[in-house]
Amino acid sequence: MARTLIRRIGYGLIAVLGVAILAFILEFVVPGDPARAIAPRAGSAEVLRNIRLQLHLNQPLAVQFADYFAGLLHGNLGTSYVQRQPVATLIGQRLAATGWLALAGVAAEVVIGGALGLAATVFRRVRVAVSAVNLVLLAIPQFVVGLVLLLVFGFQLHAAPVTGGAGAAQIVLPALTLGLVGAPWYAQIVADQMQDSLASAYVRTAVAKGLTDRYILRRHVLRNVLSPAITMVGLDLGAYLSGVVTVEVVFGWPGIGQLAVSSLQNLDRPVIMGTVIVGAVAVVAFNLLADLVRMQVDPRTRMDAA
Amino acid sequence: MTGPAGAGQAAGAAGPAATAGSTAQAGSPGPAGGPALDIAGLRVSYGPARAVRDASLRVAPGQVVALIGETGSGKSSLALAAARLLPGSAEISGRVSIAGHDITALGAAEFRRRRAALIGYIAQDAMAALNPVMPVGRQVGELFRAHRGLGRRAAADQAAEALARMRIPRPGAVARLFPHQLSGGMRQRVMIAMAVALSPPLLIADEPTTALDVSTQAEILGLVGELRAGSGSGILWITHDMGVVAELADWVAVMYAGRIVEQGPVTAIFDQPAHPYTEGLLRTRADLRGGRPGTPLFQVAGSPPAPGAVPPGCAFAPRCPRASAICTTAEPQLALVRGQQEAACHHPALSPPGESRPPARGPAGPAGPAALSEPASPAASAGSADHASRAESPS
Amino acid sequence: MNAPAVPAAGVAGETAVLAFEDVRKLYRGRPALDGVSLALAPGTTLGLVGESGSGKTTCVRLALGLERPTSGRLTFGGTPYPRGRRAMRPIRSQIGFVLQDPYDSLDPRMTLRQIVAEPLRARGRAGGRPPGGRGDPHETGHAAGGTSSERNSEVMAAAGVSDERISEVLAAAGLPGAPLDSYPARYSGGGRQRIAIARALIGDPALLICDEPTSSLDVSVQAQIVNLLLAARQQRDLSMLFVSHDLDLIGRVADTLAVMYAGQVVETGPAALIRDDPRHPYTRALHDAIPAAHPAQRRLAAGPADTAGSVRAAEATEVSEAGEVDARARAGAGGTGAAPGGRTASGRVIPALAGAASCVFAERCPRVQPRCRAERPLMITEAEGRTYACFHPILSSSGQTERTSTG
Repeated sequence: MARTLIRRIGYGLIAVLGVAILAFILEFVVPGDPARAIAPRAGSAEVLRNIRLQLHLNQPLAVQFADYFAGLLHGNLGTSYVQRQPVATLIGQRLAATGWLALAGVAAEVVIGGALGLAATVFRRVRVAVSAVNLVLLAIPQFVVGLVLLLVFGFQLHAAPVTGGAGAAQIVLPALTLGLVGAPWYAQIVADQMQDSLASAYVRTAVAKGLTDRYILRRHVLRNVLSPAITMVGLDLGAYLSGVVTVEVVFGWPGIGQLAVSSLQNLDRPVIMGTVIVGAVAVVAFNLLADLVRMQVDPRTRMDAA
Repeated sequence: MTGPAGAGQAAGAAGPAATAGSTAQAGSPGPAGGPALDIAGLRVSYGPARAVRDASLRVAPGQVVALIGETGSGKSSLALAAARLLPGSAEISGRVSIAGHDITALGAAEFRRRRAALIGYIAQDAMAALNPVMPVGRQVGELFRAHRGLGRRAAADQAAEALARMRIPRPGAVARLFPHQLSGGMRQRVMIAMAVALSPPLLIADEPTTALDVSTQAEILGLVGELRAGSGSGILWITHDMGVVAELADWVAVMYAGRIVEQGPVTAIFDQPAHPYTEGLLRTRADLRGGRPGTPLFQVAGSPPAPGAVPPGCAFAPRCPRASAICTTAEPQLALVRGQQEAACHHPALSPPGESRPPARGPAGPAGPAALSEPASPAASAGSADHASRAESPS
Repeated sequence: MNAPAVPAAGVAGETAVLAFEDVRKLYRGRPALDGVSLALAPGTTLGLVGESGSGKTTCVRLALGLERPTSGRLTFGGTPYPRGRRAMRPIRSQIGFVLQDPYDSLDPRMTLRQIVAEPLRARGRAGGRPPGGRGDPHETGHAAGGTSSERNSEVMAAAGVSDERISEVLAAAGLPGAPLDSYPARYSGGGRQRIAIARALIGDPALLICDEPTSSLDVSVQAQIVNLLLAARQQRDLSMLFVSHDLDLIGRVADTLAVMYAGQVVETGPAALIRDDPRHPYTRALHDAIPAAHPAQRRLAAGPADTAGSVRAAEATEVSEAGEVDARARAGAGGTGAAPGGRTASGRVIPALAGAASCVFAERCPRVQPRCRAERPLMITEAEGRTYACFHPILSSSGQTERTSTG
């Protein structure tokens, strides 16, 4: 068990490092000059030269690479070209906001998707309706869902705050957006697993034992449905923690997604790298966490631990 | 085997049990009178496919009835219909009574409350039939919680006891394991423990040893032998293995293409099978055991009809060595052949065919019957060559 | 290991078609095979019998070249198995196989034409690029690539297989007139095994490996399939490796038997002798586990009085064929401390460790003596050509009834 865990963490670190190296190289392939992005519009050649010197942009790629990864090993993510603050600080300020949004978004997905999936299997009559809802939600782009929610609940009904800050009230609409867009996937998984489970021999055994339908659903079916859903929760949490760009932009949510967008616009390389690395760590960590939880829920997945 | 044979269609089905003296256990629900299982005129179809075509069968208390048939013969549909476990898509008609209760007349909720006390169901593939994410002890304990109103602790104790009765070593520890952590034999013991937990008057076992090794099968058969001796439950045992039948059954019913084509006391069926299909199965089995290595086996050529495409007349006629003109036009009905033995055949074997008696084998076999098998082999081989050529030559 | 190489079964001067020489195979440090020696004489059938977990399937995987032994070696017609898939191809093209599960071993998206022509296609490419291991029993399945027409023409071009040839083989397998464009889904279990047999025979193999080919079939279909295999063997001068857990069946089909337990061969010899008059207590237990032929002879389900003292052959024994034991199961069952070769409360066999200084069967043996736990029995060879590894064999003169051999 412990050995499996250590091995998984090792693989995770390698994956993060790989992503970081790839991102670093891509930054140089992408056309654009950070100095120009930072310098005032009418900056002279002199100003540009100074900026490059200051940011070590004139160094050979190999040296910049070595410098960056040496810093990274010491936990130093560098300093933003634009804001002149440590990248770690910038990300730290926004991590909480993104974290809450990710959690709330996944919770909304699970609740909405789970409900749709359950409805589709338990009440056969609504199955077609649920499929239609799923299809519509899948087809509409995230930002459209966000805008519609904003229009309806924010501007028309004034039921939710429209913009500004990362408060408890402000989180409702962005989380709902994530939830609606992600729900069809959960609905599908839940419906498929439920159907498999309901048709299974072990449910037939439970029926033969004279257990009530509700009990069978709760004790025998749902637990077998959980396992794949947990994997998906892990994947989503990881992905959302690396920034939910569209939703954050639409709702003005001060999270890592917005930071990533502005850093890309400014070619603020250290910040780009920082968001990429934090995202990769999140994906790896939540994947691992999901697998650990899954082992608790489904004993069959514990096999390799021997 | 004593007692008169009923002559009626359904009544003639069940002879008195070998252990006729034993009565239903005190814990059994309802009036102890009546057979453990009484199926009359059962029909099951899935759309155009008629899986069971008018089958009647009885299981007396304490009796083991083996229902023999091959894939698609309708034996599993019959068993599931008797346990009221068929999916809603199946159309079912006919009457099923268990220990005097007409379960086809019981409402869904009422039946759910009583079913575990009426029928124990043992599935073929215990790995699939046990919930993979629940410890086996809890799966057994559920029964006591749901039907005896026991608390978690008391149910766990009862479950461990139930496992112990199945001769599971260290039942307390095994109760905490999950199905995939158990061997096939152990899993099947857990299944049986659940089936007998509430001492139902009827057990339905759907090929419970087919997926097991011979040695594990032997073990399960031993266990069932003990159970039979200890309880008055009637057992309907579905199988396609004549060896299992020889070990376990008091009464045999042979199913082919949705109908029971022969039934009778086990010794009579083994000694003098009347239906050519039964005879073929027995000869194949005997040849497998006693035939000379490397020589062709006796085989029943051809394959059974699909449930949607049963030919007119006798369904077995296309494969039957004794088929005549009438067999392709008129469907034979079950009729008494001798003693309590019934067969649905226009040309039943009426005199004991010597060669169909299987040879004795192994330590239990006295020398006499073994000698009897000597003349059988050449005949069987010749027959098989005949059939083999029919089966294999491109037509 | 201190035991010497087991005298190979059934060799009579001729070069064996297939031979295992002191083969050991470890999975995660646990032995699935422990010093197995076998030889298959040309034109004969060698039967491998044992419970699940005894190592039968591992033998099949090694013989098919899907895996390599940890130590020891395999030879085909005297040639040692080479390393690497490419180098194996000449040997593989001479081996046909029929596996247990007819539903799993045929790719549902391939037509009969494609399935049956498969081995020739692989052979036609022997010098070309690797065909991605297609034709391997455990990979055949779902590695289909390319459109069907593309693959058809490839098959034809590469191997020159005509539809007539395919139909001919299918007819020989008992499917005359089967449409070549049909899919396996149309066929029952028996029909699928016939397709698998046609596929196995089309390349005129020297060796046919059958791994429980009838264990998932109905009795009447089983007889048909067995007869088909027997006929093919006779007409084509095939050598066969036939694996089964059914002593009756295998005794009927094979010329020579090798009985396996926990990764070791414990008894070998002429089929009729082993089947009717076993020396090794394990073979005896297998024998006793077979249900009676007639209700008058029933013993297994005869009730409590009968069970005492009998060799309850193999109380639950099931190990994944890889020979692994779930360590958790043992821990969960209270760290049972069952000895090697014994079993746990959860019913799993614990294979003996490699080179263990005891008899593998000691923990389950009714005839066990202190010596059996202290020393590993060597193979004893008798005049009739049978061998067994047991200190206390069952000798026919000891009063045990022999089964009359009709042979």
